[in-house]
Amino acid sequence: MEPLIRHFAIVAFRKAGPLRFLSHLDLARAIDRAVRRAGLPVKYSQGFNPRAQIGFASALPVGVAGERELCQIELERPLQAGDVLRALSEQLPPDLAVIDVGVVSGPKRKHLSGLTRADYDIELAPSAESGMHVLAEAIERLMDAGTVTVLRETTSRTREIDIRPGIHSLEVHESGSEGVGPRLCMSLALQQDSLVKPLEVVEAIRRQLGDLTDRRVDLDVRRVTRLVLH
Amino acid sequence: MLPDSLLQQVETPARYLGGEWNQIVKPAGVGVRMAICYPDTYEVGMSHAGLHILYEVANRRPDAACERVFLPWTDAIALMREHEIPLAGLETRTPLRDFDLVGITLQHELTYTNVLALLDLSGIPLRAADRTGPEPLVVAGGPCAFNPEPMADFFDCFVIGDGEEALDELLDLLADLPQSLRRRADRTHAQRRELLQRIASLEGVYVPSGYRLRPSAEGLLIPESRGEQYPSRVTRRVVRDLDAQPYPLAPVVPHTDAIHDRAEIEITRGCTRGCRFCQAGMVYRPVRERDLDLLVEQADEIIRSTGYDELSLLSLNCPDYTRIAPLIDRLHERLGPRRVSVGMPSLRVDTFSVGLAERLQRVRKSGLTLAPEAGSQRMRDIINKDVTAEDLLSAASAAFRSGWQRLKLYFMIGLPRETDEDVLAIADLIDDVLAVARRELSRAAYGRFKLSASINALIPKPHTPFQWLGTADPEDLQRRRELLYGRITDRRVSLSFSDFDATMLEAALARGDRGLGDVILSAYRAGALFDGWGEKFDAELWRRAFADHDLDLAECARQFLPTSAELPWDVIDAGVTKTFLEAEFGRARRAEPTPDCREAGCVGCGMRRLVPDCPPITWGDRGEAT
Repeated sequence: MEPLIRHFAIVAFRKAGPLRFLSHLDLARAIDRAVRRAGLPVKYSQGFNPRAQIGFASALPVGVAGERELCQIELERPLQAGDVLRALSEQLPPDLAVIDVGVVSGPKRKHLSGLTRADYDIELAPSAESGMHVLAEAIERLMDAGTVTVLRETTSRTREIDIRPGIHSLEVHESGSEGVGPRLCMSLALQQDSLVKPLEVVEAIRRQLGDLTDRRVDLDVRRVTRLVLH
Repeated sequence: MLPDSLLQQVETPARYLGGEWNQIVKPAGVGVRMAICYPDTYEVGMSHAGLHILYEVANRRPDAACERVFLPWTDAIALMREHEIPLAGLETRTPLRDFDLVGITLQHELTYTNVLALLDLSGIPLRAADRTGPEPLVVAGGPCAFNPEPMADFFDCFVIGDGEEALDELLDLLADLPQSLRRRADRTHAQRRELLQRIASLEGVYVPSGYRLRPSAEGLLIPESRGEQYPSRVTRRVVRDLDAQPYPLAPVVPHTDAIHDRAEIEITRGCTRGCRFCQAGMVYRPVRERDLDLLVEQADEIIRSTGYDELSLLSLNCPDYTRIAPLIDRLHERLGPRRVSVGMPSLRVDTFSVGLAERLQRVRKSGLTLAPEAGSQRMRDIINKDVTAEDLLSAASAAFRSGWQRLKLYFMIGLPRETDEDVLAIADLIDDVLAVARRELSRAAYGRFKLSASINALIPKPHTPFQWLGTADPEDLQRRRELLYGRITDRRVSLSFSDFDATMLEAALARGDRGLGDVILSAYRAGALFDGWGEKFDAELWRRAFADHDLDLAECARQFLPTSAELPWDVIDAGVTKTFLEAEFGRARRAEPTPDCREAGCVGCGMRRLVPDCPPITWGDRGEAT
């Protein structure tokens, strides 16, 4: 039997400004409605409660911005990428703007499941600037450590996990401009078994700082942005 | 409204963002700036069709700008107080106190303290008497405006009845003010009073400061006009032709899960079935319908502009729309290919309605809700609910045959002349429905079958035939609740009762006079807020607030008034006359039915005074129902 050919639009979009405070569910609903308004021939699931076949690469936590988030939209028939881009762009607010669209047809059902890493940029409060030196040292120690444990709460329980294997890179940079704090840049694992959340890394840095110095270094997080998914 | 650092700290920050799809942002400098406020959370307020309608009425005018305001949840309120952040409109973050007009809808009595919180968080003096110059005009509307007295201290005026034309006229008045009254910033107390006098001349607008209070024989405070500028009675506004009214075809799409997160078209307004407990059925007469073709076009446009996948038909009684079956078919035909499901919230207890529901839910069979309202025929005759046990059982039977496996039934207790036998009849009726389910459903389906019965205590409301009655004795209500719990033991049936303490408060506020303003303020100062939210409601706090003003909450709720009594809300002419209500009260006592005027012709409710060709809709020419 010939394999079923499926048609997808892979949409890169941002989640920015105040709309970064949408929950993942709210975001999914906003995209779903935009797709409907755009009149795209989206494919629906079978069954009693048919849903538009729109899947997201990875949920962004409430408050975290995304520079280049990804979703896949399954279509009833192949379309030109430019047409999808145009139709969808008209139906989304600037804070959820479409960046680019790719189209793909084939037997594959999941086009976003191979992503393994995400890069984050965390803007800290300007007060952290004074502690740059010790901050850099804390990060170095953390990266040299064999294990880095944090507590992770789920709805049912809290457990200790080692996040070190999931931290691919971690650096701190001075902002260089007045009134803007230093930024933490990190690349973190995205897969279920080794997933690391950016604020867990901040927590681990805080702990390192506590061991290093008696001086208080504020690590107030101003803004978290996910830059790109790999 | 909240800075990013605080948004990070609150539950569901999406409530406070603004910037939703279809939001209307007007440039600064537009003539009249209005805020439309819903005194509850974003999720509740954004579900209210009236808010979207008035937003449209105001914003379609080039000389007006209307923004939305909701009451932040308690976590955000605490942060706003701590950081001295004033409440502001979602569209442009303009503080509420800088608007010309602040409209607040009063949907039910348990939002009254929320209204005070809205004003308080905005830095607007709570009492109208303390707003002596540049403060916005604070206007109420909605069903609770039909007894404006308990909240009269806090509002500059109330708009009674349908809001579309009245709001337009109010905006006209504000847009065309003479130079001396136009500038808000340096408005004097005298100018504010002059403005209110002008507003009092609008039809359907009640300006409480134009009325002095006089105690009635029963000790109630009765408002009395201070002069000819203030009409002795304010007549409710009635929109004659719904088709001619603006309707939002591109409503704001909420950011986060609203209670009703769907497209809505209003198919009818008003109901003349004549249930004697139902305020909406008395004060929104007569039944007016929208044109079928227009409704289909409106639905199409709203779906196109919002992307909703669900459309709901809005009406006090959907199956009564004269061409309901063709309407549903046309909507399916038009919207089905776009995978839009069509639903209707209100069903009558009959097989015709179930047939309609079947038409609506061709695939998914979620729960079906029916409201027989009372257990015994005698009680249903007293409340004029034109439904028999037979109707319920055949409706249930039709529902089970069509595949429904969950049923919800609404009942009331604490009805006039009710005995324990009448209450136990609810249990009998539930038993009978179970027997029907056992007969109609497969063995497996009967095993899964769920019947939930929601049982509320009667709250007598102003402008209804029961307006002279108090609530039942709370101890009787408790006892009857226990009776039902004792009798209904089948695990398929779940019973839920309204909170009787909240019932008593709602009843006391509903029929209250202006003296209750102080009580509401005391309760608010003592911390009452979100009283309609079960877990936030503190009955003891309210009892103390009443006691602080030498009143007893339960006595207020239970107070029986003679039909000869002057009533605080007599100042409002709701269209239905007191004579008619009294006659209906008499027929209730004799358990006599009153027919629907669409079927039987005019029943003399008094609406002909306001609508000469009343009733505009009759069933004489009703097409084949199915």
